[in-house]
Amino acid sequence: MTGVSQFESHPDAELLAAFAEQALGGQEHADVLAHLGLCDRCRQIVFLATDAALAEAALDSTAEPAAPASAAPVKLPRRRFAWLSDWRLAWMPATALALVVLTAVLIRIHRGNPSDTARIETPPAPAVVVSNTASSTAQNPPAATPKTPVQQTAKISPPGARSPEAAPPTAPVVETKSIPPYLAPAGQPATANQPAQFPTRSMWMEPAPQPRAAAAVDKGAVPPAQAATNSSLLPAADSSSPAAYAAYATRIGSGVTFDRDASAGLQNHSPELAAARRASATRLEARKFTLASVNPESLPNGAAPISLARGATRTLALDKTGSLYLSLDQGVSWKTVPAQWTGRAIAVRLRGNLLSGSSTASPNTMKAARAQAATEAQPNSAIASELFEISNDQGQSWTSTDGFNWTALQ
Amino acid sequence: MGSAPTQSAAAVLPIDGALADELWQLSEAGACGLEREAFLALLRQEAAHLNPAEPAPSRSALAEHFHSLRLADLVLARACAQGCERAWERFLTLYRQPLIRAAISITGSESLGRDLADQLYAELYGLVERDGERRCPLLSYRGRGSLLGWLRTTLAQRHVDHHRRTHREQPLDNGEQTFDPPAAEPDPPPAQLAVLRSAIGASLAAASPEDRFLLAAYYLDGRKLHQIAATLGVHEATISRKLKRAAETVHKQVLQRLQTAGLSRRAAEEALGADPRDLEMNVKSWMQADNTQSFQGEAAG
Repeated sequence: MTGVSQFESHPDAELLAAFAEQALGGQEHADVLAHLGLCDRCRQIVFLATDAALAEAALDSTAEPAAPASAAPVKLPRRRFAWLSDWRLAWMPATALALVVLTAVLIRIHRGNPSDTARIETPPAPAVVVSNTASSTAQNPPAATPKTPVQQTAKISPPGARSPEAAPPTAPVVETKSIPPYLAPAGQPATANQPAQFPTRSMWMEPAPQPRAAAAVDKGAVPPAQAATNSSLLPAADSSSPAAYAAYATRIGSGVTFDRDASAGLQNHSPELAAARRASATRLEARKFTLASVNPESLPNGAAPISLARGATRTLALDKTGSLYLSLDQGVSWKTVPAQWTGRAIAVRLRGNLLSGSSTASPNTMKAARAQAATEAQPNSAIASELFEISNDQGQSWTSTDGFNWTALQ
Repeated sequence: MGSAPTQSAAAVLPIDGALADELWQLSEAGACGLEREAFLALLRQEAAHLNPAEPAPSRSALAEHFHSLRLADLVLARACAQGCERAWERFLTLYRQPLIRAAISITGSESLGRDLADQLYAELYGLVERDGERRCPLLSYRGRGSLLGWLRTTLAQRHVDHHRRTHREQPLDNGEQTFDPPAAEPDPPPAQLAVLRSAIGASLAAASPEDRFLLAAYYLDGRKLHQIAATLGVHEATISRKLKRAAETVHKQVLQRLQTAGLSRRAAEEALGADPRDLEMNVKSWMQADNTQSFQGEAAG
């Protein structure tokens, strides 16, 4: 193809330039467009010219007003912030900002909603745990231990409910994780049916419970394993009746209380239930008695107590001088216990319930205490069932069932 | 600097003094160093292009025609073609830097761009002679579009033509090239391929000029949507929508033609899934078929 024939067979620069500037009329525009659909050379020319025009327009939009022509070297069109004008790129920072805001909102909601925050659970006091609970726990073979160490959540149902799904909507969700027995903290045996309660991550964000015992009696705060055991104490047929509810509360003792909100609808059903609720409230108030509750001036020496042990009716306090005091009226008045131990007493505690056997004391301790309880004439079996222990600074221990008479442990 | 054209000079055209003054001011002919007679002669030449079949156009037709032109650019181009020094000064002031930038943008290289711009300057200045006569490309500018657009297009023409002349001049490799034959695949019957070939060709031929331009620019040239949109002066979303519609139309027509040729619907769809390498059909070369009869007259004029 010669140059002349090529020139004659294509639209000239005038038409192509006018087409690129949309300056052609209808028919001429259609003719050039039809040619461009067939001719890649002319398409290439038009696109190159258009690209150059766009680059020039972009330069004009950002550059200073055109200076007079000079011999200055010509630079390629360069826009410093040309990428800012590309609206498609705006999606990246917009998306990142949206993600940050969404994350912040989710974190805020997660932290700020108290109903979603787990409570720190403390195991119920051993003195009030029903003996059937411990026996059933002890009878469970190790083979029944679940292989999976993590049990994600357990929804606490009110007493009498057959399944967690039957729990009232107001029942709190306790987020707990079971841990292997070898990881259980001291004093909290982790068995298959009673996994040690470890606070989950969200629990760390909660303030430390003060007093410690108060957290255990929060509404509906029953460890999952214990709740299951307690439910097994109820007759299957009438476990949801008010009478069964009251019997349950009576048998459980002071270790747990039932959900007040859940039991609100049962208030008018039975006097037994009302009595059980009053007893539960009394126990709840009694559990709030801590070291901080003891007025040092009420103690005979006037010194602040360093250790405290509470039973059903008796309270023992130990001050920093090693003197032990006994109170039978919830800490209002104190009586000095004569020292029957050697060295300086440094701690006193309630070791367990002799009847239930759910004690953290050693078998020898339990045996000696039972023998002591048998020899003492205690009209109140509940008091006789309590076992106090005092330790001195030499690692020796003494036990007592009444807080007044102490026997050295072998 | 000349004054407004006289009434006697404009008497050969149905241009009254008011229109002549208006065109004189509009064209900035005085800044280009044109005299009044030369300006009116230029108008007469341009009026001849208005409608060759009508030797005496009306005044309103002339006014509409001249207002539709880039009269300032046209006057400047004509003055430069006539060798007016002031016009060249004005041309260099207005277009030197933009022309170099456009050449650099077209070639993608500063050195090549400067060479291309200098080469065009030489042509524009009339240093190139043909048949013993100086030919200035500015004479082919008729003011339909902007002079800068015309310059860009001319640069692009030079660059593309140079590339098309020289891009096949590749050095031969010393080593022997080995070609791996494609894996043997079950080929459709040749008769079916022939039917498919003819169906595709007929469907593309039946496509509208705009659809063919869109399909060729997008699929053959690999242009971006925003490039096509800038060329046609529409939004790129419009181009995307039109492209999708054009492809669907061609696909549907190919299916219809295959079914018309005797294939079942399923066989037609299977035929469309044939390997394009088996078609022995170069769509690009087919779309470059000579169909430029309408521009021969334009070039001759």
